[in-house]
Amino acid sequence: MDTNTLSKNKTTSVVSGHLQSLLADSYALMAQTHLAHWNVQGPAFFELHTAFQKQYEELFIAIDEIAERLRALDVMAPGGLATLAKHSKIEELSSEALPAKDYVSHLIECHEQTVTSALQLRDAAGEKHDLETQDLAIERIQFHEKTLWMLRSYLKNL
Amino acid sequence: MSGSKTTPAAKKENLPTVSEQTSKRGWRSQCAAIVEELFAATPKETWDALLDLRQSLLLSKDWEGMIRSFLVCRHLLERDHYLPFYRLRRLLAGSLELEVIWSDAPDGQIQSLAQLLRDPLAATHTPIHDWLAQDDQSPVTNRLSAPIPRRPRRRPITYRIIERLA
Repeated sequence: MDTNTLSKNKTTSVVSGHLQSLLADSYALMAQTHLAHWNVQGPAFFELHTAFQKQYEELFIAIDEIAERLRALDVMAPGGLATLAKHSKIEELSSEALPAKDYVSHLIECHEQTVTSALQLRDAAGEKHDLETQDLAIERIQFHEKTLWMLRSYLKNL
Repeated sequence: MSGSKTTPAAKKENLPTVSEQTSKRGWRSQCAAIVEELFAATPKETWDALLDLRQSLLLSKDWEGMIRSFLVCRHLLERDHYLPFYRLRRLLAGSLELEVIWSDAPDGQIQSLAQLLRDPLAATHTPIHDWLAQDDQSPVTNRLSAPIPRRPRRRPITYRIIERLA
């Protein structure tokens, strides 16, 4: 039985690269969701304000799990706003007043980008037989796809 | 956080980044693809307007005509299809901008199209010139409805829509 841990395996560098991307996108998404939580206005304020809070709280926990998976692979986790912003493909929203529907639409695009990162991580982890990381990626995909369903459904009723 | 970077992971895996995909396809074809998806979800009566918009997006250099086509379609369809029109607005505002010469500033000033594109009152029949002027036409009063002295009205002298430099 092979007792080598994944942390000793050079092939984990591909997986850790995707983990870092997912970490950066998740952090950026959390910040954008927090911004929407603060600045959303209008008749749907209470619903959206509360929904956005639940989402960024979930993301905060997820980010910790992603970073800790990196550490389990013996890779240092990237941190700090500037560093994570450099790694993320998510675009920032300006701080100007926007219609509530625009906040929801923007977050839909952010979740879509994060799903793309999670899918790349899932496939890379699968190729390297890193089932624990793959499991983490699948869990993240499920969360973002469920949130996308909710946000898209909400947009139809605004 | 921008989409103009290649992540280390993307480099290693030779995966195209968002910006690479955008530059490969270009904003015009990205917009046209969004419009094409609308055909399956909209009534036939709106297809002429969508065809005009798609044609304009793909081929026209008449930017104002393109914006007008967009506003026509948005007026018809945005209520039931908010997300595609949000994506179109974002792409158009990221690719085109207004250069305006104001009465109080001789040099042309660059202005984002984002506000015009999302303004529900940006009527399809209102010239952009009038839309630019409307901000200074609204009555200004204080809480007791007494008129507030205001600076001389600022008027747009001329404007043009230009493509953003890459």
